[in-house]
Amino acid sequence: MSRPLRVIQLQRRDAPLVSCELLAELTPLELLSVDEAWHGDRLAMMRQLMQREIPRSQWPQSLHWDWSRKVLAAPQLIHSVYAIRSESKWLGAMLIRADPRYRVRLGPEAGKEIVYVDFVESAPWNWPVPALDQDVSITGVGTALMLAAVEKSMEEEFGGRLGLHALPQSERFYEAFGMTRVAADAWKQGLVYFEMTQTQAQEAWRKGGWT
Amino acid sequence: MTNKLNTGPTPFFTEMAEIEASCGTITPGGFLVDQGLWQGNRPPTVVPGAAFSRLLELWRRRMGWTLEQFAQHAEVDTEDLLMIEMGMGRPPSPRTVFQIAKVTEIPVGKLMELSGLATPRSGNTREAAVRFAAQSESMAKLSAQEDDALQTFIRILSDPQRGVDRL
Repeated sequence: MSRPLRVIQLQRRDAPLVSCELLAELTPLELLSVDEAWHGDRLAMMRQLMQREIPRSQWPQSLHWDWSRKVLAAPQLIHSVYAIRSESKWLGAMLIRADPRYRVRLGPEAGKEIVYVDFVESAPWNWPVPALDQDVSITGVGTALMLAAVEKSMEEEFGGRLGLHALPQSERFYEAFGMTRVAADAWKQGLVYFEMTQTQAQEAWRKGGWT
Repeated sequence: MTNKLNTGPTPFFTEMAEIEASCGTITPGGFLVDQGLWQGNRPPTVVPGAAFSRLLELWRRRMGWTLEQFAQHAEVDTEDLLMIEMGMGRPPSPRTVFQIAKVTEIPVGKLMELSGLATPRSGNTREAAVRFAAQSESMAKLSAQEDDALQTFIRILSDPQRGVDRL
């Protein structure tokens, strides 16, 4: 079984706050349950996009990211999987790892360990898809997962330090979250590497974390 | 369940949630790149570009040259070389690559591919480039392992069986 971390409240666009469970270390069986739920959502979305003859260029990029099966197919899970669930519906999932290959690059903390955030996704029914007039219905799923990554880094005694390679469209999110833009890494297809120092992590946690 | 939260999201959380909603997705791309699920909006020559940077850096260090000395031998701008070694900016000019090929005696066609100025014609070369870029670390002195990696890579680049353009 996964490790329940806490109950959090997220904002629903058209209704009061919704209570959600934040879970750490999902088992492969639980991840399979996420995959089952979201795979069906993806197919349904694809069908709608085809029926409406929406050009592929307007399809959500993440529609073909079959990430959960890749993780499940791996001979050994190197990631910790975190997730958010509400009323038995999966809202979001995150892959993180404490990998000695990823260490702080900047400043006096250079060389120290970090939690590396590999992937964050929310449920397909909660994606903004303008072509289908679909908007985000529950906000802050990714934000909550990022705060959980900070907390995990604190638990590991990494001081809340994080590292990640941002997709171009998500760079401004990580800047607003308080992370430092370090460099575009050619070995990660030119994605920009962002880092969160201990001080930045403490600040993000103070402003947005849970007590 | 621990730490039940009775209050709503903080102003910072709400602000971040709105930014998140406007981004479409906030996922990092590390996993996607590793799994080949993200090719990005850039041409697929970016990864070989990393090998080009590393190749020049290791070559220069093996020769015991400073950047300035390398630039003088190749008759190119020091700043251009610096940008290449740091993996920054746009692909270098064809003239710069041509000059580098002359001084290093590496086939210019392969260097054009590595630098992102030409589309790689051989999957083997691309794989070798990725392996090379991943193996070598930026250290002050060339280790035996780096020296081996450099020599192997140059041998692959110079292999006429791999469709090499000779100078």
